[in-house]
Amino acid sequence: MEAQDQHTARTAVLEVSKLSTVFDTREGVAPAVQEASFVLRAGETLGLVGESGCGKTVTALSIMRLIRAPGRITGGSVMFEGRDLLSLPEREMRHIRGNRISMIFQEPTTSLNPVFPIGSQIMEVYLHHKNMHRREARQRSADMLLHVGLTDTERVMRAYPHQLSGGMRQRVLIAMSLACIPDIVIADEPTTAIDVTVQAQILALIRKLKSDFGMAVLLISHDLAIVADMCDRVAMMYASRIVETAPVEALFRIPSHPYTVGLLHSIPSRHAPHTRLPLIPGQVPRPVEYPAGCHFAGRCALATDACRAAEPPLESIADGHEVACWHWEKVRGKSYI
Amino acid sequence: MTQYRPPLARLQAVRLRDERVAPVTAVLAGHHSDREADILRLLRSNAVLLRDSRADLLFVDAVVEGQGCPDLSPRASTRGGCRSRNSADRHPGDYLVTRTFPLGTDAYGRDVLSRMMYGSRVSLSLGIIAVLLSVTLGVMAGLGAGYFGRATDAILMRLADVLLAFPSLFLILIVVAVFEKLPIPRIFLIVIVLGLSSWMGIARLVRSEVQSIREREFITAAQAAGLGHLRILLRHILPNVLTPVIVNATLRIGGMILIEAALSYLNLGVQAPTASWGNIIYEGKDALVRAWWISAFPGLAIVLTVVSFNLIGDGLRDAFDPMLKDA
Repeated sequence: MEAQDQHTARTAVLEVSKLSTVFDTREGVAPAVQEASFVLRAGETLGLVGESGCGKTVTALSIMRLIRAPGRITGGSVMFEGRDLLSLPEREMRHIRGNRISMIFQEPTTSLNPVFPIGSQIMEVYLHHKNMHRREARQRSADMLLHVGLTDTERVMRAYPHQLSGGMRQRVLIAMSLACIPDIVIADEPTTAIDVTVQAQILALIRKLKSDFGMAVLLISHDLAIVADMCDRVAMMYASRIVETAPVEALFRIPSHPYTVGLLHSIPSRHAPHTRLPLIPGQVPRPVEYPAGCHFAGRCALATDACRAAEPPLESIADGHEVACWHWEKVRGKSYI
Repeated sequence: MTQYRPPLARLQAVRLRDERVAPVTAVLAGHHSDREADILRLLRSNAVLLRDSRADLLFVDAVVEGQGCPDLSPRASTRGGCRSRNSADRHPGDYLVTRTFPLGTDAYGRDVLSRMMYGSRVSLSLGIIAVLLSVTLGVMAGLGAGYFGRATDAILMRLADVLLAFPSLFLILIVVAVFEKLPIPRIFLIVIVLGLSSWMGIARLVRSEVQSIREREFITAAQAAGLGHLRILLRHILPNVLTPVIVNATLRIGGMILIEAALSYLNLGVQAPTASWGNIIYEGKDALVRAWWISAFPGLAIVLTVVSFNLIGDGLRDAFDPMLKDA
């Protein structure tokens, strides 16, 4: 497949390997991310997909090293430009945050400081990272607001967050995260808190800015429609582990992990309306009670003693397609569509 | 009780000579020995010296350098009223309430209204400065404890618990008694002790606010933008916790004024002849039955001031609270 060759040919800008993060709770140590490994390549959009609580956001915050107590990163490495972000001194890490790697947050309403006008919040990024004069920072902030489609820049700069609509606030946040033209943008569910019409605009904006500035995007989402629309490759997460990574076409055409298959089957189809949607039986285990073997074993129709005994490693089954399942060949047989 | 004539009150009398020659002459004629008269003559010939000694006398003048009171108040705060004739004989006629002295005079014939006006400077500035000090300390401790958590939090908050366990009035009494010999005015000592012993409430308030603000997404966003701890604390967290602090600080000013009054009433506060509301009440307590106004009016002033600050605090709280705005 030509498309897949393209993906693998690009150079990696961020290499996450065996990243593990846990939270210390009263009930014991709760793993939030276990040995997550994936690669983000230059100029691509990688979707990190999974349901609530599976560790998507914790993965993103771990990459940025913003995990706070009671959470802690217990192992792995995050290679960026030949350096491991997890062992950088805090000073250098601060220079990377917002400057080389930036984040767009889920809630545009709460991600802006309510007591300062928009302008000063965007300017702060320039003043902090680029040592600009206020006048220049102001000019650059206004330019960036234009870039994200806010044309009435003077008014927006003076406005307080509560005076803007949700869509405008998300545009402001995007402007802030792109202020220093970072190499990587981590977008943590950027459209979850926004209504559907504006959602499409924001996604279009992210796509446009990505091609303007040529950065790589790690798009965190639980919405498969957005992922299909936006991403080049997808990493599936389930209960703290990455279970499948694949180019987006391969994931939707030949999903090879039972969980991915289950998810795809539970999307309502317009070809077969008014039919009962198949469910994945059972519930996601609680983090302190994760089973020894495959975390999905308790809900999987194909589960055997082998699944419950040992955790399947993430193995490559095709070009750019990796799966963590002992029975992937059987799953692949029952391909979707 | 022997007759007591404070020497400086007599100097005031001398100053009066320029304005009203006749009554002063009468005063001088009645009370002074030759030696004192010589001194007075010397002072009279040296008006500058006289003014200097007055400035020393009025501590508040030296500290605040306020100009309002001398113009406003009918009489200098420590100056004897000429009609009271400087006597402390304690017969009823000595405590006057006249048109000249609308709130009466005290044992030294000083105008109570004037002393209250001067005393207001001491009481108000002491209250405000002590609150500023305690707010500064409390905000710093609260920010540190709330933001960094863990060991910082544990140490600062246990320290606060320990300090809260001391009854603060007794703490102040002890400190004043111990450090009395130091060459600093007692009022500074009181301000410092009040500030150091009252920051814990503000620290707890700020800490709890910081703990909730810290979890808000815009703080994570600020960290993700690469800002350092200090910048996040001062620029993103502090402005968001300031509202309850301002309200709380306003409410505390009244309490500080009360503590000062209590100390002065125990004669451990601001020292005579500097006037503060507390020590005017203290000075009036001996003549409470015959000259109730000496204690009553400063007391009323304290009540009104404390109530006012509480009302301002409540008003600020309502003004800042977005939930109540529409109601």
